[in-house]
Amino acid sequence: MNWLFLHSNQILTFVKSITDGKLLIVPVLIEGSWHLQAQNPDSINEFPNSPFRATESLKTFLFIPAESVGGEIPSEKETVIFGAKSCDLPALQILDKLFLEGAFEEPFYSERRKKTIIIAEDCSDCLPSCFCVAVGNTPYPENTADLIFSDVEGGKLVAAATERGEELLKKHGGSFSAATELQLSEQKEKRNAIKEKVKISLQEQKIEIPENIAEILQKKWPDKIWEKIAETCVECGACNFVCPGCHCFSLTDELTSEGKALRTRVWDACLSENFTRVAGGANPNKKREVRLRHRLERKFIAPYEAEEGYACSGCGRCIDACIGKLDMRKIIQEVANA
Amino acid sequence: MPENPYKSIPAKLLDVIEESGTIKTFVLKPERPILFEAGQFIEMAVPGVGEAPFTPSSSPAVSEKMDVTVMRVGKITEVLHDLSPGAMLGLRGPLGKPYPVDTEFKGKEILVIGGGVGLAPLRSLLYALLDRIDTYKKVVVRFGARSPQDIIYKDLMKKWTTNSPMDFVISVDADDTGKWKGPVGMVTTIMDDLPINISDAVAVVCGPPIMMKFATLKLLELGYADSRIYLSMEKNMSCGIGKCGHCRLGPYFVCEDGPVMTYDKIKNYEAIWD
Repeated sequence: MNWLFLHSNQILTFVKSITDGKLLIVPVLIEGSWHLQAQNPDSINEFPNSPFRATESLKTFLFIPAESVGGEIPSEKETVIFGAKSCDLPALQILDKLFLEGAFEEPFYSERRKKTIIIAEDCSDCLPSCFCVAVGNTPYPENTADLIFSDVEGGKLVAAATERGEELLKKHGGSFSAATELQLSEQKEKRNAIKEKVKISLQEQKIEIPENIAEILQKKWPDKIWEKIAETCVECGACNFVCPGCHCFSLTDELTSEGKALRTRVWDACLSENFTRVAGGANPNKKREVRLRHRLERKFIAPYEAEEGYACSGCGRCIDACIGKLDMRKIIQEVANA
Repeated sequence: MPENPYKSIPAKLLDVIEESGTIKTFVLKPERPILFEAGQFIEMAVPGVGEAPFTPSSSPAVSEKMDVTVMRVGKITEVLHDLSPGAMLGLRGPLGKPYPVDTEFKGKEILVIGGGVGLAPLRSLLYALLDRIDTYKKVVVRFGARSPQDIIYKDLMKKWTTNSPMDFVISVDADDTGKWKGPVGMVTTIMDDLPINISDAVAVVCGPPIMMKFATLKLLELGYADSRIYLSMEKNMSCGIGKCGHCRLGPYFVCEDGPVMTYDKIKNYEAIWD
């Protein structure tokens, strides 16, 4: 990657220049949690960033929770999202493959994706639920985002990871200089330190995730183990909704008060009982433990969701969201030790 | 800008044919022709109520009209069954992969095993096979219905079982009329001694899941290769375009990689018959 240096006194100018006229989404601290929210560009006084991932994932803005899809495809507003983290990015690759490739392109996602600039930055801290390092990910972005930022003394390092990112740097990059060796080694040190911090956090919680998760899940474990694990699942679907890579949805049809047919695409959850049910009542995933295992299989067995590796980036959102206190890291451990 | 794959093509309901107590055929005229191949499906919508996947039962060679045979079994089919000619419906498609009637099937002996309302999608396949009957060594059909009263397309069945280039036999699970002259028993009971050279044949199975399971087991017992058994995997195909996740089966989307899938592709996954 070609890293450039942006002096701290240039950062705001750069942010203003890049967001000019666009919808701006930034991380905002609300009652102790970071949330991605729309913000008036005029109110920005510093580089929008959070120490770790926000509660919302990027899909909230690209594959929105509910959308009218039965009519014309609307033209979306140009958007810039700041505050993407490394654990947000693998999911974007999954969504891109699903919605942009194959026999049918999903025009609503496609329109938003095309018009959204994604700016990611290294994590400087981690949450107890973070486990990126245990599933082959890092707490610093290395690809997929348009621009990647790292904090260094006196400013920020920036690199483009997409063609769009390259263009942005060309267009707005008058005040950049090439990163020095010293700055690059500072970046490396900081990156190693945060990686180490996530590892220590996992050790302190006594979480050891085995390397062969796919193999563990593929074994025909007695249903009893999964029955016990699934005992506290209330099928709320929160894990599905907060997951950056879960993409399942339903199409619902209704009549408006004017008698017009309205078709809406809404997020759906594979944890809910009727997700695979068909008319007449047949339902391959009728049992709750089967649905829970199914979700984990989709995340860890290639090529179910990801072509290779895992479709889980270790963001830990599902752990924080679960009111049944289900923690997929512990589930994997439990199944591995069964 | 790509086309909107969620948008239905308006289709006028021209006729409703009563096939049995619970099954009706809807004859539709879409606003623009829908060209499909046998085995592909469509999403049929009652505007403002909902949509569901169906495989057309008419000939794929006819594009300006489409027959869809529907069993009254759930929310949308109940509304459909109450509709009268003139109603407007919506169609999306064609979706999914068809039977390889011009490729893998070519030059082969074709065995078609059907059950119940599975005859509806098979009818469009049989029309397609009849259209190119000279390209196959033979077509053998074994079909099972619950009772003589449950047999749909009665006139066509009479014709196809008595006077057609196909070797076509229908069995009923039980004869509640006292007039049935054909075999009585599950369809698997008329799968022995088939006039088929298995090493040169492909088999198609379509019907209720339990029937598909036992018919497939029977075919395997008879010596059919996994890769030559074509199954209609009807799962909850909601979006129909390989995105929504409801019809996932292992790494596949049944709506995109199927609904016609060979047994070798899916045999290692759980709950394929559920």
